[in-house]
Amino acid sequence: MTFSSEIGIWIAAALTLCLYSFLYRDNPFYKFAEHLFVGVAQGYITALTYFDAFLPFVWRPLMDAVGDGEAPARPLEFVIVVPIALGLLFFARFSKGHAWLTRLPLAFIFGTVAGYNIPAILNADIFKQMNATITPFGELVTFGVALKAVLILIGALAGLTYFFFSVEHRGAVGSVSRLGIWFLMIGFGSAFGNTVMNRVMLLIQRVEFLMHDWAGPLIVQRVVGLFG
Amino acid sequence: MWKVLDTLDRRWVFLLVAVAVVVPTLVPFETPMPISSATQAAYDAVEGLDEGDFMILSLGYGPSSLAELQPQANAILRQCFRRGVRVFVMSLSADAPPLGARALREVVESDEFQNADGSSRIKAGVHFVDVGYRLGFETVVLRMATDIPGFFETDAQGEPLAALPVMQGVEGFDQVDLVIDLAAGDSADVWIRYGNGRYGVDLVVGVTGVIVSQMALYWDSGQLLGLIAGGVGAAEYESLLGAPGAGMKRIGALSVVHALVIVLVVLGNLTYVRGRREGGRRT
Repeated sequence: MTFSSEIGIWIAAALTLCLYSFLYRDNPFYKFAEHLFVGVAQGYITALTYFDAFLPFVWRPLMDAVGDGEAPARPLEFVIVVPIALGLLFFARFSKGHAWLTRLPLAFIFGTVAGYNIPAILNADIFKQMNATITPFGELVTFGVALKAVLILIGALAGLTYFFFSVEHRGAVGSVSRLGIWFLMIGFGSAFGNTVMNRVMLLIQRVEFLMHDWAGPLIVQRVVGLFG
Repeated sequence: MWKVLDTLDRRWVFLLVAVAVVVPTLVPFETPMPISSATQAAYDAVEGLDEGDFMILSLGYGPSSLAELQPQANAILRQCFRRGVRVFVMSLSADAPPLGARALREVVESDEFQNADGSSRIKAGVHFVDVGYRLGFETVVLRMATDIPGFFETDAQGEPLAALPVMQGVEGFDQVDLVIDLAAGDSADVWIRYGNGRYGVDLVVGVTGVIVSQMALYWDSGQLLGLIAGGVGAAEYESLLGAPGAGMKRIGALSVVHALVIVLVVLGNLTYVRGRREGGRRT
């Protein structure tokens, strides 16, 4: 193990322990690690935005348009000025009198995203899902598959009824709505179980790091070596 | 006992969970590993590829999801290299590139692919290419559809993509035989809506436990060829591959903690119900 990687492991172990110390109570070590993490993450994103967004999408196209010593100028590339100007309009937020100008780039973004998202979401999340809910009823299937299809259909209709607020949830609608709550709760239970798995895996990975990468080779083995 | 439970300091629960993780990590034990149909289907999708086929491994996760998704990435890469499948590694998450590079390094340098002289049989640019991160979720996938080398231009080391043997004959999604997205967030949705929904690419996703429930409906509807669900899915995949790794190693501790959580949930609810029956005020 190199000296630099060993230093890295010590820092990572110390920060891990600082963060977990919050489980006992809030303390300065936790605060330090938390602030450090936020700062590092912000620095990383800033550098990444510069190299992966500003340079390729702003600076290089502008330089292509102007032309450097070897390549001739390409005036058509000046069209990049339009999105750059739209982006710069976001800074109008800092001026009370001109804050309204930020609506222009926002409108462009909303329009564009809605334009390519709406058909895609309708297709993937509505039509294909409806198709998959209904299709099994038109096929010769086993009892198990048929039961599953019926349950999914009932669950989908009951769940939708729960979120249908144009009719008062009384009588038959109320009963179906309450059934919908049961399906939703089962869904939330499943999501909770899977979320527990996610969080516990994170903990296990950190414990593995502390025991196998840090405490094992860097503390225990050295102490044993010292006395052995 | 109920009174003790009712007033128990939550830090005792944290301590119990810590013990439940540390002990099985120090003293590992094997647990039965039944394979779910979704993981089996994901594995079969890669097994169905022929030598020379082209697969995209899209990484949509960062260090916070490393525990679940990194074992998946390692297992998938190992399977691809075993089968001679060309792999195109890309990142839709800003902090994914170091993890992709790490997974590639670990698999490529593993004993399984070593020559007698210690070098690896798996070569960058020939068997795989890593193009790193590109900004923009939807736009990346949409622009890849017709011109992958033209959009990315170079790999992560700055080599022109079009000149690499691994990219031979590959233009857009028509030449892509399978896409696997490892997602901790929205990248799976992007591939489902655009890659699969609009361009019809065959798609498998591996996801963190948090979004398994969201993805299960796409697997159920047939929009996904397979679904690898969190750490358990990673362990199942390693088991299918016959290459035990970090995923299988963690299953023992995961099982113990899950059992503990179930017991705690039951006890918590019993305490709550009992307190309510006694007319006590609960918040």
